[in-house]
Amino acid sequence: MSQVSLSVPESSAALPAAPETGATETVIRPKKGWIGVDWRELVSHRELLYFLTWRDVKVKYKQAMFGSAWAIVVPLASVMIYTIVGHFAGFSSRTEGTTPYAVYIYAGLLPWLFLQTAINGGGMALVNNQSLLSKIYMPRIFIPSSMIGSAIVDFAMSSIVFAAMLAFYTFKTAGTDHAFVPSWQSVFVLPLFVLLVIAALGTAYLLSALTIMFRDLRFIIPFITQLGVWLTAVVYPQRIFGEYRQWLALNPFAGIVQGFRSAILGEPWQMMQLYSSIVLSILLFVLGLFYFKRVERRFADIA
Amino acid sequence: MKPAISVENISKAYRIGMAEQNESFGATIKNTLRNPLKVLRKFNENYETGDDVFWALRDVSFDVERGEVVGLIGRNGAGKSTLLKVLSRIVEPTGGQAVMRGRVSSLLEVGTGFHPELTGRENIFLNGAILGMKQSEIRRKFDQIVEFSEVGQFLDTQVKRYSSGMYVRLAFSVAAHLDPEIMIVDEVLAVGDQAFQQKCLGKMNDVMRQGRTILFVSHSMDAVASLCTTVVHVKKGTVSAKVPVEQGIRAYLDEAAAGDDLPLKDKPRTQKDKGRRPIFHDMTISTDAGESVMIPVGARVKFDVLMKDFSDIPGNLTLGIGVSNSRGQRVALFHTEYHKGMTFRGADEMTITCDIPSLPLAPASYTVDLVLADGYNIIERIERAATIEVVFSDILGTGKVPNGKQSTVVLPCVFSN
Repeated sequence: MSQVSLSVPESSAALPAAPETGATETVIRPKKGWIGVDWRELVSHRELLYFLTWRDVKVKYKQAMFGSAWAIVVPLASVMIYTIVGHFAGFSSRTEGTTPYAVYIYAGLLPWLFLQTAINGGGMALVNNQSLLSKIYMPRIFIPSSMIGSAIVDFAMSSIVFAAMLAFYTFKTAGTDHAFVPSWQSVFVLPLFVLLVIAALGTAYLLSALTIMFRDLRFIIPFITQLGVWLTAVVYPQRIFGEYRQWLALNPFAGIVQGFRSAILGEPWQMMQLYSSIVLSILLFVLGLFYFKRVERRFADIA
Repeated sequence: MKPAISVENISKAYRIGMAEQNESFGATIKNTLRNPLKVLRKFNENYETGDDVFWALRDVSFDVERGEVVGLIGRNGAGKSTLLKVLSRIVEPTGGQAVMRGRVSSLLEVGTGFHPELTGRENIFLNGAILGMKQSEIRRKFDQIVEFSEVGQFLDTQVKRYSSGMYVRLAFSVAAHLDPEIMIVDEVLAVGDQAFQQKCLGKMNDVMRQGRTILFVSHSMDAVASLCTTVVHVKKGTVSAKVPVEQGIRAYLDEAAAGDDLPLKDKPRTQKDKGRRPIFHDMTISTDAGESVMIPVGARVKFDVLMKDFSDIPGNLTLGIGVSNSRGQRVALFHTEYHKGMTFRGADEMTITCDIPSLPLAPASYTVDLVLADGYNIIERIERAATIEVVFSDILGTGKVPNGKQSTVVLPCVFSN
């Protein structure tokens, strides 16, 4: 009796102090070649992705006097500028049907501004977070991913403004001979958005890793976005390219931007461009992800 | 039971000039034209060949048992930090392997991922997540973290408005509540005020008593002696066998004493931005009788510290001049912020003079350390920047003073009977 009662408290007292043996065992050794993605780790650290996204959103608007109002003002101002320029350049007379030109512009800018954030922000994502690379271990793929996460928040706000704009024009033109109604095909915006995010993630992975290896890209990237807005036919109809229009299929973003317009405004679908976009976006995502993983091991040495 | 940490033949090589690998396109093109193979080689990982390779660590092996607290000591640039980074999975080793058995948390910098625009409360959650805590875990420990940090009333203030002390306290508090099985700590306690440092050491003692394994880098032999059971002496990328604390500290102090004759600007130093141009350039030590490192007990001493090429360093900087005895214990600290409330900005060239009206140390040899910090992190530190010899002087009027073995300081008093 007494033997039993003595031994029980002893062993239970020893238990809490001893950490669970072998619960987690980490092996550190040099890795060779292309490194696979540790999906299990990404899933177990998913809260970190949430916090980094939340940080990016918070910090972006915290200092600004008008705060998150900028998420609405920036796209609206861009729409205004391109609308005015478009009228003078004569683009506005070349759109189809009864679509108000401002709506036409916004339908293209909505996905484009998202891609622009992915390109600009992706380039700077790692460079701006060097202490997260050199002072702590974490799944680094989350750094560019969280940047896209915060761009999704912007996209959502911008979409609400766009929806309000669509409603406004629908009411305003109702009963007139140039009545405008958004297409029922607008529901296809959802799969297009998935495609958009895949392309944006791939771009952000690729550019963030490239920029930390070659800092010159910081200066080159702004030109890419400036050129991109024209080569993607964001603010004018693709018809302006004339016989060269088919080449737009080589631009993974062109099919997505045109897809948004086809879905919302009821323009004819450019299936060839869309298929090409799907293939290229997935390729971009895979390439970006694996290039990132390949150079990731050297980030801390370089940063 | 298997050891908590097994390190087997870990090596880490850096290609010299690797830090400049993020060179401009122009330079890349020029180098490619000049030497096409060299640029290509940048992209393969064969370090075995080539003479422009620097081995930061070479065949490092040791084991750390569960519940053991091991100090890593060694001179600046010996490879301690690289070893911690390899074991923290921040940098990948070039060869060898290490196995960590248990949940690891590493604290190489205070407040990694802290964002100045966010409030204290927000940063607790963000930093906790970055350190690997689950949200539920942070919520559960939130009150403890806040209480430990003593910044409760400023919880909803942006961290950029915090004093450096508050910042460090909050950052350490988050890290201290991680509850890892294996804790890797770089010298993060070097900043912050004395009282809080004591509290942190106390917290680490608690962690230790719970049977956690700690790997600890410090230049403070006091901290090493009080926390660690054994030490590993890191020397030029290789390590000694694990030895008892006393023996390890003695070996370290012997090593540190060698090579004191380099001019200050060439002395090994620890830098926040590794490999940047040296900031501490020169230091002259003088008494009323002129430049000299022989200082009579109680005499006036002046340190003139010349710093150069640090105009690119942001923030409010502080300079600390520490004096340590031959056992590696700090006996005095002269600090621009503590002594004068003074911080300064980076400059191309700056001389700071520290005038000590009387240095009442007992006759012995002492070493002088220089520390440039920005309140959060050490920018540059040189240990043993100079050695001073405090020599006898009849300050007490009796022809005698206690020597360095009997006492550390010589203070006046009045006896009566």
